[in-house]
Amino acid sequence: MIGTPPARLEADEVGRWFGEVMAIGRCSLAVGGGVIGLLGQNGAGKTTLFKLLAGLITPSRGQVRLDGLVLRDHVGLFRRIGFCPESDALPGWLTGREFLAMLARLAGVPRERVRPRVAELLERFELTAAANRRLGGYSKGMRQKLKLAQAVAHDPDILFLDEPLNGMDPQSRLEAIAAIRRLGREGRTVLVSSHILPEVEQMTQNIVLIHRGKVLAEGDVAEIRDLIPEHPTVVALRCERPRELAAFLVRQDHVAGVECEGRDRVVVRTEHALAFYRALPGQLLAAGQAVEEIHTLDDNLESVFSYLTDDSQGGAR
Amino acid sequence: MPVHERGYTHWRPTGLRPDPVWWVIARRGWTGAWRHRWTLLLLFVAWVPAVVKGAIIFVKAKAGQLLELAVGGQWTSITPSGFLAFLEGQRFFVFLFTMILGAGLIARDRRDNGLALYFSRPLGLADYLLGKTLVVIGGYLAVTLAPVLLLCLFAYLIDPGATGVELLLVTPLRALLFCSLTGAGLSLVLLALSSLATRTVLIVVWWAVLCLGGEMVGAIGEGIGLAGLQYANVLGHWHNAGSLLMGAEPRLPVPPLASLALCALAVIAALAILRARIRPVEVVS
Repeated sequence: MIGTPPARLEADEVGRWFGEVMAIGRCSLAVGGGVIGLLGQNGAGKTTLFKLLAGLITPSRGQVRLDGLVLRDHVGLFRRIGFCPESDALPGWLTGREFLAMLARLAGVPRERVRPRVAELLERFELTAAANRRLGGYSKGMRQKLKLAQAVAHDPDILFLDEPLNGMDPQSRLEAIAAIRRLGREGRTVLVSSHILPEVEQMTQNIVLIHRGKVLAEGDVAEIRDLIPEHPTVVALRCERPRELAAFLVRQDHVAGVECEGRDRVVVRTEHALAFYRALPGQLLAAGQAVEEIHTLDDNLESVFSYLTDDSQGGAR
Repeated sequence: MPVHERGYTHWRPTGLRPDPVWWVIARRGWTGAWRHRWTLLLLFVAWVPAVVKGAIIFVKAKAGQLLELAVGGQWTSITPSGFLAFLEGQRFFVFLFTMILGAGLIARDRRDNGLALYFSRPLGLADYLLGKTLVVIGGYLAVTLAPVLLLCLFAYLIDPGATGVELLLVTPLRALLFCSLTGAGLSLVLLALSSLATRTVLIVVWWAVLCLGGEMVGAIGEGIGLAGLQYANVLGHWHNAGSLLMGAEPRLPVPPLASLALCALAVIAALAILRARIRPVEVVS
């Protein structure tokens, strides 16, 4: 990070109702610096929370603050915000260059700087060749790139990217993921909303999980995983003598179950992952068991998401 | 999208002054509308009455009876009343230009994600409305105030003694005030309609019904002697209320103050609709 501390965005018991429908209940969270994935199933309230945090919707209760100032009360704060909407509907009668120039000027980029800035963005997002074409003729992927370009046009401190990878080809996705990670490393606060978990996982391990209008979990994926006691952590160990290792492990503390898979793999379930991991090296050493690889199978985002939102387990935890 | 390493520092004022956001919105609207050749052609046609009036003024001046001759009736007069009659005669072009410039202004933004993009920038509802209103007012003034001012100047130049300061200052000021207020009022009403739908064609129909339909009902009322039907004459009320400002005879068989009240009500209703409808929430079609 260069220069000043990252922008800090805080939601203080924010809620939003549409008539009698509660889209977001009391929701409190604080984010600052780096990439944060905002996850939720369809209808979970993800988009509403996203717009509340971006200051596009007035909360029915609570407040959203950017560096201590209430976002909705200080229009000037929006100069520090970049927003990439989910919908790819764009004004078809404008050219790419005109679109970027207008939004850069609206965001406060001085007239003298608009032209070089737009040229730089067009080049950066590989849209120079299509710059003077009307947006009506842009492909979905080009529109997506243009939306990202307008979001960063004024060098905002905090970025809201709603499903930013929709419609992009695989190569562009990889590049966009890299670009988003880099934005986070640079010290910006980047909130990314997505329903494609592996993509979010490539961008960040830091997530906010929304379910039925409430924040279910917030923080590092692995840490959140450790806080789910109902589902034992599943660990895979690769070794030369799996049956022998399985027989050994089943006698150890913190082990809830052991299975042999294939010719070189043992899968262990433990309810106390941290204690298990601490004790495991010493136990293996004492028993003379050689293990080539240890790999946790379910501390990935998808498993955490699934555990936390599994309605059969009573819904939100 | 190649990955470029870029240095990044948090935003700080640059010392360069950005344009006001309402000006950016208005400029974008004008640029978009006036780049069509047919809009320019229509503007040219809208100026034909002014050219005709100018020619008549010239002929009258040469005949030495600028004020006395009544060629073309009140329409060709260089009195405030005559200019109000001229503005009234421009109402079809007013309908056309406001429709072309304003019908889709908010509807398109609602349809194309514009509101979310606009309001994620440092601008408020007032900035947005001012910018959009100026787009429509620009078209309105181009076919009303601009010819009136030029005609005043032209009439003064060809015969300075005709009405003197009245023609050079007072009439243009009255016209400026009337056109600005009427232009702003009509723009707000049209923008309110534009905020009610996402399909421009619907707003065009509503605007036509309001302007031309009202005019037709008024004309029918006049034909069958039912003065009450004149209350439906939407554009007529603006000119009728304008008679107070221009010091002219009422244009409708309705008290000008009643017309003024109706116009004020229309503006208040339009503002209420705009306030309720313009929200920075995406419309996904």
